[in-house]
Amino acid sequence: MRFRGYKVWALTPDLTVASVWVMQGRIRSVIRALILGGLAAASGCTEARVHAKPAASPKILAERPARDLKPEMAPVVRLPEAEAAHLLRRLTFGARPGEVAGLSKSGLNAWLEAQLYPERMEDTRGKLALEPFLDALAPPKELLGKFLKAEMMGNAAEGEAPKDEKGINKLTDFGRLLSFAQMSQIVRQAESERQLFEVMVDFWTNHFNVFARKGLVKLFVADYVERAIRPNALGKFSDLLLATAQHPAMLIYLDNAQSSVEGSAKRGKNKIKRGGITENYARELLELHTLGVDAGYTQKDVIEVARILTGWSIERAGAAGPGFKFKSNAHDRGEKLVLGQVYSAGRGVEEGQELIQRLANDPRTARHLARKLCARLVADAPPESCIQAGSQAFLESGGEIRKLLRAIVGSREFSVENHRLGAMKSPLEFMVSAIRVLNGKIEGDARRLARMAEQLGEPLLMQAVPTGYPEAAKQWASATGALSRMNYSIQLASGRVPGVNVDLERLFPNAEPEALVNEVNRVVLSGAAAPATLEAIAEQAKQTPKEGERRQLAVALALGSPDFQRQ
Amino acid sequence: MTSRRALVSFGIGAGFSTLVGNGWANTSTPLLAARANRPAKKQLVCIFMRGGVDALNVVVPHGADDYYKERREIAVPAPGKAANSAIRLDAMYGLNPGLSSLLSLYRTGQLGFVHAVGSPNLTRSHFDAQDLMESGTPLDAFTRDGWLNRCVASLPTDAATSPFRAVAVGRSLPRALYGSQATLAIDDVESFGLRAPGGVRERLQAGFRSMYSAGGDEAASAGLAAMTTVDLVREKTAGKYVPENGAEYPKPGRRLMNVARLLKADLGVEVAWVDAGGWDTHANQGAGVGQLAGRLKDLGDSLAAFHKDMGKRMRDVVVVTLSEFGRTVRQNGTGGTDHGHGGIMLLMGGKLQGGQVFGDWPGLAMDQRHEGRDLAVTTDYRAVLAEVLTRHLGLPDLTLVFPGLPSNSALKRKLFA
Repeated sequence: MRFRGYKVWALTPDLTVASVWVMQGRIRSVIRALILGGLAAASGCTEARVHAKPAASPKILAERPARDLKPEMAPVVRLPEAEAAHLLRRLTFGARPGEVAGLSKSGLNAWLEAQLYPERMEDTRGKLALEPFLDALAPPKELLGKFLKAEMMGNAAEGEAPKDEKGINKLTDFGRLLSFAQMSQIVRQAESERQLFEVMVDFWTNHFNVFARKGLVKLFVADYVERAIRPNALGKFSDLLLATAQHPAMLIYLDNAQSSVEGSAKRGKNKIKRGGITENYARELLELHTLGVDAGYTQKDVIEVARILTGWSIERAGAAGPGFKFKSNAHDRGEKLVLGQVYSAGRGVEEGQELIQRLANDPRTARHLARKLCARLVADAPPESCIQAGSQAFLESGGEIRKLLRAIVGSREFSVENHRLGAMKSPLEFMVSAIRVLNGKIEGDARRLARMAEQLGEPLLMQAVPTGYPEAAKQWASATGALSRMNYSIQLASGRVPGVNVDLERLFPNAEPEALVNEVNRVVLSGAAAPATLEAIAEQAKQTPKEGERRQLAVALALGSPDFQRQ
Repeated sequence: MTSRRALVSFGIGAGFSTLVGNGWANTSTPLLAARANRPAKKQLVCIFMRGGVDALNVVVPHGADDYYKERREIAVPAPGKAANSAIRLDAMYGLNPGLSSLLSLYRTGQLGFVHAVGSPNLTRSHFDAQDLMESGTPLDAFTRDGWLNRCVASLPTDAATSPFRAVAVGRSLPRALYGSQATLAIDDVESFGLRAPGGVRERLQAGFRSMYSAGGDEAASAGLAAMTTVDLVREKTAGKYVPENGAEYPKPGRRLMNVARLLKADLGVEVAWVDAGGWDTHANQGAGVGQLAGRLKDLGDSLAAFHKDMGKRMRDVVVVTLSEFGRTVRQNGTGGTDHGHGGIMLLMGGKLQGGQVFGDWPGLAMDQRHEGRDLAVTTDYRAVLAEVLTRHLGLPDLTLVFPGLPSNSALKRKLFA
């Protein structure tokens, strides 16, 4: 079953299609609007995303010459504001003032297409906010110099690189490094225009979770997000999977760096030990990263996968810098059998690459990923049709994450009314969205935010278990969590989060209780707050004589309300 | 594939569990009033000494020559042999003088140790060893929840359970408390609640209380539970805390004092957890004085104050310490010790038959050590906890808490009368 919405998006330019148009001397963005508008108009739809009617295969349409598209057939497709607000709650870290109206006016497609190609967006604000934390994003071999412990500054002799973990720990201020790494994510979530990209970076970072406090993962974790996750967050899943599989952060976190063929010699500290496989990464690769827990693989498959990946290890910190290294003599060269597929004897690193490709393109992986992404974007218990649409688009495109996203966002169930405000924000989503709805500006060293995320229950890069953080509301809802959210709301509204500037006076010029409550509802709560919430805010606002204090109180109550916890 | 993880339930969150649906959020003080008429419940306090404490310098095997041979600079001198020497417990063992304030509790049988205790897992990574010790399945890396949460889930309970049953005193929940049962993290009882200046706080509280009063979905129920919890803590711990019986906590004992306050407050606390760091002594750890002795003094003085403060209530309370592993027998090149294997647990309170060092002594000769370098493990840490949970807390069934604990791992000497 193919929907028109799917067809429309299949048409929009990824790089290959785009190059055809460029050759024809057209400006792509204009054409894109024309195509979308034209199709919507031709089918008599009021919105481009209405897609109930089966349509011709996307390939045929894509091959149709661009001149068939008529400029005059491109109406502006407005979205109802309530729907625009819903879309922004799910596809961004929160709508800044004016963004709901903006999306409502431009329609979903223009917005989505722009968001799907973040590298083409101007992002001055995002880049500016990132500047104070750029040091953390340097390649790992340069980090040691940038995060020297203060007391080591004087006596760290030049050219004397630490040889082992102990030496590195002695020299390096990892507390500062980790808070910088966390902040480099938070500031972009809060400030960048590339919102959907940031949502997907967060999604994949969590999907391919690593724990910064395990061994030397802390040295690689920022690099992991920057160079394994980010470049692939909207690209091909197989690239993303391979990048994580070969990154030192993952190799250390799930122990694959130490996995070696049974019986091989391994030099330990005091004596030579016998090597052996570790199943840790192999198991999570199948269960969490690709096929999913109930995909029908066996313990034998796990062991065989581990054997294939023996020797996938890391270069010691040295001249070339720490990075992936295939250790040929640790590799098991025997024949393996995974999920019925024979991997013949005598091969090296390429059999692991082949395995990764197969897993990435497995229909069970498509379903697992579609389901998980739907749980994040659509509903805790996502409708089957959404999962299928996503899974099919993923498979048909050979694992294109953009196609997966378009299919899910375009599926009819995405914004049906009973999903609106039907999910609960994670602590991070809550924390960042509060800044965004208030048009808060992060300036300078706002490292308190990284601590806030921890107090709220979701410190970045600090989830110990490989499952990552949960998505479902019932796992976030707790008394401790709710209290932390209220306290953060109070601090943010009263300007007590260092480095985050919130100008309530500008946002709410009229501080008369009634007007104030209305505006707070509109700006903070998408105009959709429950009567009990508004009454509670109004009641307390009336009892607060000072205007400044009244604004703070009203905003704090709104941010801490049940309504603002929902998305 | 699923069966391994299906041993346990997976409501872990990021260390938060839900209050929703346990029926507690909608009840209030009447429940707690009812509790007052029943016999006091048994309570357990776990202290996790993160970093891998050096067991051999906590309870010193002064009877073992190898100890002095391998630790020329950092051995605690045998009793009476020098200044800051070990305090004699028996012919074999002595106490680090940093723990001198615990001596009388040891002598009266209210405190004891288990030596050469540890995990069957051999990892020397802090993270892995803590993770596995707290999951309670040291040989299965794929358990998502923690043994203490599973323990609470397995304990008999009233119809309406208190949200205070399992409390971590600290900023976040430990791995051991992840799971399906409601848990709370309270950093500090006195500042627990909304943080704002007086008048504003009252209005904020009134506002939140009003908008959350009806409960509803997860978000709404959690907020209601938060407000109820705050009210209850306020009501039950009103005013400034004054430790009883003249107990004085040292500054690092603030969290243990908060534990005492919560245990006494009739809130329904059954298990409490505190983390204590600073045990990863790779360099300059010292002997009878110095870095480690200083940390032990903080711990010992805090525990002694806690015991005094709790007074007669200690009959219903057991304190137990854990640490992910012990350290190397031989000192390293920087006057410290590196990650090892066998460690130590401290037990205090309840009907403990203390005044002794439990656990078989493995010896320190090269061939008696684990891999020729570490104190060997002769007692599984789960066996100690198993006895505390069954004999003290009355846990009826261990199978969910420590699945796979070998039946022959029971302790030779009974911990409790």
